[in-house]
Amino acid sequence: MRRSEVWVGVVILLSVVVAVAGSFWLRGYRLTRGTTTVEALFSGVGQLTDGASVKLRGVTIGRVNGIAVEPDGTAVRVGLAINADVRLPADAAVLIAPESMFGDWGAEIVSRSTNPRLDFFEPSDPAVLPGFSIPDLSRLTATADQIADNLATITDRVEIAFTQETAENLRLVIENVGGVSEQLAALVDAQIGAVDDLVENVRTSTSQVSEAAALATLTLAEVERLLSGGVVDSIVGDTRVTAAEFRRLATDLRETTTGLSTTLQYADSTLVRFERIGRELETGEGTLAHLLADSTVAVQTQSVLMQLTLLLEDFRENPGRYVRLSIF
Amino acid sequence: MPGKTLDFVGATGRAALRFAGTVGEWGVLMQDTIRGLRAVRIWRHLVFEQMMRIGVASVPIALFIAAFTGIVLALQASYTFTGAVPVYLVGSLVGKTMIIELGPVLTGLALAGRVGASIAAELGTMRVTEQIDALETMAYDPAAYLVLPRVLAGAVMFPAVTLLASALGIVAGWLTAIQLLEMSTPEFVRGLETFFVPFDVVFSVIKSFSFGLTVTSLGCFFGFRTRGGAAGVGRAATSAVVASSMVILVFDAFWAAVLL
Repeated sequence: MRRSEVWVGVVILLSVVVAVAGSFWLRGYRLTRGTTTVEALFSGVGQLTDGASVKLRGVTIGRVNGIAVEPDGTAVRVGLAINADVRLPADAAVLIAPESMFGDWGAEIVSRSTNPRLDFFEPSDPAVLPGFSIPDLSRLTATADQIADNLATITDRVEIAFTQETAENLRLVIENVGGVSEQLAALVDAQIGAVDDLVENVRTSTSQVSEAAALATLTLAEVERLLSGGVVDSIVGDTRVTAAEFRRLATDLRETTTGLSTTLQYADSTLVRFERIGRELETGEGTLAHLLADSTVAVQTQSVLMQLTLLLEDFRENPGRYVRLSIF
Repeated sequence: MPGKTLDFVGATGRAALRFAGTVGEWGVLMQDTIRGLRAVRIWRHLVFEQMMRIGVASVPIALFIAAFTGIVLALQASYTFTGAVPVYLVGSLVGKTMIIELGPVLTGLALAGRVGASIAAELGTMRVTEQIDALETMAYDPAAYLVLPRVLAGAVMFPAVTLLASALGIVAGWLTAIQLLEMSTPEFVRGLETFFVPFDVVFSVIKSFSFGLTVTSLGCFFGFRTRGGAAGVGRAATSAVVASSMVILVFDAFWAAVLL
């Protein structure tokens, strides 16, 4: 073998070794330490690139090894090649954040319980770690710029709206609010008293309800006793008999009412007659009026009555004189 | 006045035609070279010798340039990165710049001067002394015998030399950073690792491969078309270096636009 061939081989092999070994070294691969790969899901990964550092408590324990969008496009799956001898927290999650202001991003494995406010992506596979990407500086700057614009707009509007008159109105409003506050305080005091009374009433009512409940309990016990002793059955029977008596009495009363109606009609006609007689008496017409107005008629009537009395006595003493009874 | 304008237009047209003719001649030579791949017995024993002359012999100058480039990069980076800029970015700048830009380009330019001129002068001398004509007379394919070994050697050895040069440039930058800039090795390494992606190395290899093809093929081309004795040989060497340097820069921009 010629010397030139050896030298050519040396240069080529050396360059290949330098390129390959240097690349692996700069990518963080070490022959002396084994690695294991864990995966994490993110809604976005910002400017994270393949080969970015993975840290745990600030110590670099691996490298990002693969970034790919999920087939359904809803998340980004990031592979993390970390040292096999490193033990991750039980509730490990992955946080992606800029490592400096110059576009280099890194991943940090954190305990999720120490970052409760971060909205980690929730993977369905428990073997995949949840991930969260902190918005980069440009996005924060854009948001701050938008907030500044909004504040400027509000400031302009306040300047337009806030005149001397507005200030005076505001002062009046504040005074009114003070008065309303005092009234509200008085109202609240009154309501507190009313509420106290209400509470006392409720307390009293509660005790009464309690007593009534106790009494009801006793009553129910008595009712239960009566129900169990058959007393109610006898009462119901008596009530049924009484109801029948009432029904009969009502029938009699209805009949009596009907007779009473007839009687009232008779009384009515009688009263009509009495009224006519009264009018005749007043006018001096009729027999009775003549009797009342003419004393001779009265005397004659009295003598008639006496003769009738004598006749009756004679009739009692000598009935045969007046009555003849013959059967055939 | 119209006559001068017409002369200018005519000169431009002649230059364009001459350039197109030159490109065409280069294309014909490359076609002959590719065709010469079949004559393995002719070029097989010559490739290692050319690798030695083009590649191994160029390593010292390439490493020298790369080393001082790394030193300058580290110094200028530390000079530029002040205030809020973290110092570890010196490592990023040195590494990234050496791998994807200065390593391939400076090595290519250096080798264009050394290798391109050498090839053009050597083949130009053979042309003016009619050695190439003698080869053709002896039924030797000049492309397979003279061009193909050099182009193959350049295509293989340029990337190798470039990788070594880039690595040494980074090492030189690292030594400068820790010795002169009060940086620590972890800081420099952090900067190196932060923005490094393996494709940078692939990109560097692709670029230097194209530079190797360019420098060697143009050196052979200008050597082959040498006319006019010793003066012609000098012109051929100069043309080879100038053309190679220009094409290297054009390819540098081309690959950056296409691959990055």
